[in-house]
Amino acid sequence: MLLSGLVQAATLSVTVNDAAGKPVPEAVVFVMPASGRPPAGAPRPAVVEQVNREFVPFVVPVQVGASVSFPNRDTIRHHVFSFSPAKVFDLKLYTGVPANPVVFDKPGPVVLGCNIHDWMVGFVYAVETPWFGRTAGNGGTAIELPAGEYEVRVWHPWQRGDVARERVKVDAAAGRATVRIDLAPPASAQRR
Amino acid sequence: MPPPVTPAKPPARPALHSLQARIVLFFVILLVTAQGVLMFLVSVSGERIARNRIDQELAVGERVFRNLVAQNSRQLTDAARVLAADFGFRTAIATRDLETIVSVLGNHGRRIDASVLMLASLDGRMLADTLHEDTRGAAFPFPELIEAAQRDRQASRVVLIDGKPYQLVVVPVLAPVPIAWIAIGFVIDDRVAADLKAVTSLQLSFASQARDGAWTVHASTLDAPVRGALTTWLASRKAEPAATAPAAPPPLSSMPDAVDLDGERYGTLSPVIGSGPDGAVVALLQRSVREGLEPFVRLRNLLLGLALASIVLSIAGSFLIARTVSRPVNRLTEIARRVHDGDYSQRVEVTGQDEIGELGRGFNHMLDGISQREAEILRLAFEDTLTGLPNRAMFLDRLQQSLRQARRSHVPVTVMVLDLDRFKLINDSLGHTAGDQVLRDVASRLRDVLRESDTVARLGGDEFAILLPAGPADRVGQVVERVLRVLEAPILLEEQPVDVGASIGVASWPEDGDDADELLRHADVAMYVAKRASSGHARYDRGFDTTSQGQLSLLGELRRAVEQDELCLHYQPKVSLADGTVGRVEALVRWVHPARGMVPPGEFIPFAEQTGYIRQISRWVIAEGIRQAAQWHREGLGIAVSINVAARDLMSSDLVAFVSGMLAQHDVPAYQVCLEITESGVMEDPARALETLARLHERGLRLSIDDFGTGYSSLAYLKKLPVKELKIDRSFVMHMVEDADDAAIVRSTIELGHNMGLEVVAEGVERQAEVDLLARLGCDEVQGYFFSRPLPPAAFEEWLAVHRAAAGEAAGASVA
Repeated sequence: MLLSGLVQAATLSVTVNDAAGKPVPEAVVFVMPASGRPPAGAPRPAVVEQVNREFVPFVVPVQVGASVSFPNRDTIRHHVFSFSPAKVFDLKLYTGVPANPVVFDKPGPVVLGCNIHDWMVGFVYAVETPWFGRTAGNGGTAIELPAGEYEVRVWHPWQRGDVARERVKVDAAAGRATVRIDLAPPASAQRR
Repeated sequence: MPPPVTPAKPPARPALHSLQARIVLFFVILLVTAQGVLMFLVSVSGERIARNRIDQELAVGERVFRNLVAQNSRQLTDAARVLAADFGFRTAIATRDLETIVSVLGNHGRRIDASVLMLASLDGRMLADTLHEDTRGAAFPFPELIEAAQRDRQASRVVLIDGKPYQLVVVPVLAPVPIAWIAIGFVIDDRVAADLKAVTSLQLSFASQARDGAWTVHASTLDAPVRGALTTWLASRKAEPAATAPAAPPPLSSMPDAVDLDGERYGTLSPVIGSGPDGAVVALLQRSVREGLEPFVRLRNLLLGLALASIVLSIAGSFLIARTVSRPVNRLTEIARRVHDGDYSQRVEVTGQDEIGELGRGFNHMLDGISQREAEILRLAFEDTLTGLPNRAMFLDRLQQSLRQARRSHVPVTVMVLDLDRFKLINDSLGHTAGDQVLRDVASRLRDVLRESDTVARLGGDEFAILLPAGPADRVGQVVERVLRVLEAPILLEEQPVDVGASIGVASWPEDGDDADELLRHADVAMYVAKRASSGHARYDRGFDTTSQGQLSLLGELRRAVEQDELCLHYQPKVSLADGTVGRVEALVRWVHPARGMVPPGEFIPFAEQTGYIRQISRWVIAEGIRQAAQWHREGLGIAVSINVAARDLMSSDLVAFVSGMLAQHDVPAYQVCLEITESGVMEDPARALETLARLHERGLRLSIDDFGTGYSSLAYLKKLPVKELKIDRSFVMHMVEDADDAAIVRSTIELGHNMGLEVVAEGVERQAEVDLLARLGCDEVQGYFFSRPLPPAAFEEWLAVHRAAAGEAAGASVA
C-alpha cells in the first residue's frame, strides 16, 4: 500500500495449463518479487463454505495470517479438520458459522477434511505474499501488482512434484505468464 | 415164519447227495451268487460314487474356501478402512509421535482383533510396527501391496511375516487425502483353520515353503501326528512351483492328490494362496477318504449284514422245506428197509394232502397188499393145502423152535412119525378122491386127540408127524395110545367103512437125537420098524441105527458097483418037467463086492428099491440080460433069458423104448427075452402096468408073473394081463411036500395057470420029492438048487453042455 503510490500498478495475467496443454482450473497462483520481500499488509480474511457436503470453493488461497471462516450452509453438521503441518485444527460438529475463524499463520497447503463425510476434501493454501489468485475455468487469473520482476508460483492439489515457478517481468502496461504444471489426480475420492 | 434174510443195513447216505443237501445247496449258491453280484456292484459303483463325491466335496470346498478367503479379506479391508478413517486414529497419526502412533496402532488393532498393524509413509517407509520396534525408516516389506492399494485404495494378500502366514490388508490413511499407509494383519492360525473347517467340512492346513524349499505347517485342523505326517509329505513333494510363482492368484487345482497321512488317506487340494519375499503360502484342503467312504461303508456293511442274514435265513428256510420233503422220504426209506427185513408192522404216518402225503398213502396200501400176499404165500408154503395141517417145512421149524426152548429148560421133546398102513390100497382101489378124504379125516382125528400146543403135520403122502413139545414123559405113551385108537375106528367112505390103521415111530430129545433132522429120521426108522413088526408103534432104539448107517454106506458102494461094473448076472436054468430040457434061464443079479465078495441080491435089492437106486440097477440088468441072450442066440445055444423087472420100472414110461432099443442094439429076437414082473409090482398101479405090459407083449416079448400068490391080484385082473407064464413063489414050494395047504395052493395055482392058458414055473426047488410032486401036479418047468444054483455065463454053458449031454443020454436011453 505504501508502494502503490510510488509505482504504477499493473495487471499480471497468468494461465495454467496441464501437460496436455489443457487449462487447469482451481490452481493457486501466487507471485513473489524476484528480489526482496513482498510487502506486508493486512491479510484479507477468506471463507470456505460447506455447501451440499462439499467445500466451496475447492481451493482457497490466503495470505499468511489470514483468518478463514468455515460457514456451514448445509442443514447437517460437519466436522472440519486438518492435519496438515501448515495448520492443524478441527472444528467439532457444528452448524452455521463457527464462532472463531481459523487463522492460517504458516505458509503451505492445508488439506481440509470432514470427519463425518470422508469424501469432502478442500484446500487452503497460505502464501507469504499479498499477490495471489486462483485460476478460473479457463485456467487463467489476473493479479494486480506493481510492475517489476517477479517469480510466478503455481500450486495445485493434484500437482506432481513441487510448486511450479515461472519468472516474469511485469511492465507498466501489463504482464503475461503461462505456467505448465503436471497433474496426477487421485484415483477417486468419490462421494458416497 | 419169514424167510431168512441177510440183515440189511440202511445204506450210508452220502450227506452231500441227499435231497435235503441238494435243495439247501441250490438255494445257498443262488443266494450267495446274487448277493455276491450285488455286493460287487455296490462295492464298485459305491466306491466310485464315494470317491467322486470326495473329489466333488473337495472342489466345492475349495470354491467355498476361496470365497471365504475373499469375503474375509473384504471384511478385513472394511475393518481396516474404518480404522484408518477413525478420527482419533488419524489424529494420533498426524502427531507423528512414534510412541503415540504405536500405542494407537495397538489399541485400535485390538478393536478389530488384528494381529499386526504397520504404518508406512506415502513413500513406502515404515513409520510404525506393532511387531517390531526397530523397523522405523526401513522400507515397507510388501511394496506391491502399497502399489495395489494406490491403484485400488486397498490391497489384501496372504504374506509371511517372521515366517508366519498373515492375511495382510493395506489401506490408505485419509485425511482426507492419503497421508500414510496402514497395513493390518491377521494371523492365520488353528482357530482360523477350525472356522474354515466348520464351513467347508474339509480339513484345512496352512503351510509355507521357504525360499530354501523347507516346508512349515503353521495351522491345521489335523491332529498333531497327522500334521507331522503332512509336513513330511510336503517335503517329499517335488519342487513346488508356487515357491517361485508370481503373486498372481493361483488357478483352481484341478485334480486332488491322494495323500496317505499317518495311515489314513486324504483327497488333497493344495492351492497357493500367497507368496512373498519369505516364500509361498499354500492352503491344504483335505477330505479323509475314510470319512468320505463312511456312508458308503455303512451302506455296504448294512447290505453285507442283510446278505448274511438272508443267506442264513435261506439256509434255515430251505433246510426246513427240504426237511418236509426228506424227512418223510427218509421215513419211507426206513420203512422200506424194515419191509426188506420182513417187518410189515410199520406204517407211514400220513400228514397233509400234498404229494408226500399221497406217496405215504400209496406206500401204506402197498404194504397192506404185500403183507397180505406174503401171509398167503407163507400159508401156502408152510401149510398142507389138502388137510390144512402144517407141512414138513413148518413142522421142522417148530421142532427146531421147541428144541431151542428145550435146550434151555431141559424138558424132553418128542417127535412121532405116523404112516397109514393101508392107504395105498385105498387110494389105488377107491381113487384119489377117497384117498384125499381119508387123509383129511385122519388129519382131523389127529387134531382132535392132540392139544393146541402140540403140532400135527402132514409130511407127505400118507405120512404124518406129531410134535409134543416139552411134556411129561408118560404123556408120550398116552398120545400113542390115543392116536392108534382113534385111527382104529373105521373111516366111512361113501357109507362104506374102511379100516386104515397106522404105524407110529417115536423119537425123543435128548436121548434119541440131537437135532430136528435126526429126531425125525429116527422117528421114521422107528415107524418102519413098527410097520414091519406090525406092532402099531415103536420107540426108536439105538440098534435101529446100525442098519441105517449100514444102508447109508451101502448106497455109496452100490453106486460104485454100477459105475465100476461090480455087478454081474448069474443064470439059473429052468428045467422042463416034460422032457428035462433046458430052453430058458433066469438072470439073477450078483454083486461081487471087492471086500465082501459075493453079495446076495436079498441084501441090496430091497435097499436099492427103498432108495430109488433100483432103477439104475434094473436098467443095467435088462441091458446085460439082453446082451447075453443075444450072445447065446448068435452061438445057437437056444437059451431064452428071463429078466426080473421091478415094479417101479414098469411104471416108468420109457421102459418099453429102452427094452426095444436094447433088442435092436443087440439084434436079438424078442422071443429070446422074457420079462418077469412081480405080482405085487403089477398091483401098485394095475392100469398102468397093464398098458406097459400090453406094449411089451406087442413087441413080442414073453412076460411072466413072478412070485405069484404073494400079492392080492384078482383073477379078473390077471386074466387081462398078456402074460405067458406064472411063477409060483418059493415060499409055497419050500414046504409043499410037508404042508398039505401049501401043496394045495401049488396045485390050484398050477391048475389056475393052465386054465388060463399059462405055463407054470416053480421056483426054489431043492429036493427030488419036490420035483416029483410038481411033475405029478403038472407043473411045466422047475428051477432051483436041485438042478443048479445060478451060474456065471461060462459056468452055465459048461453046465448046459453036461446037462444036455446027460439029457441026450437019458433021452437016448429012454428012446433006446
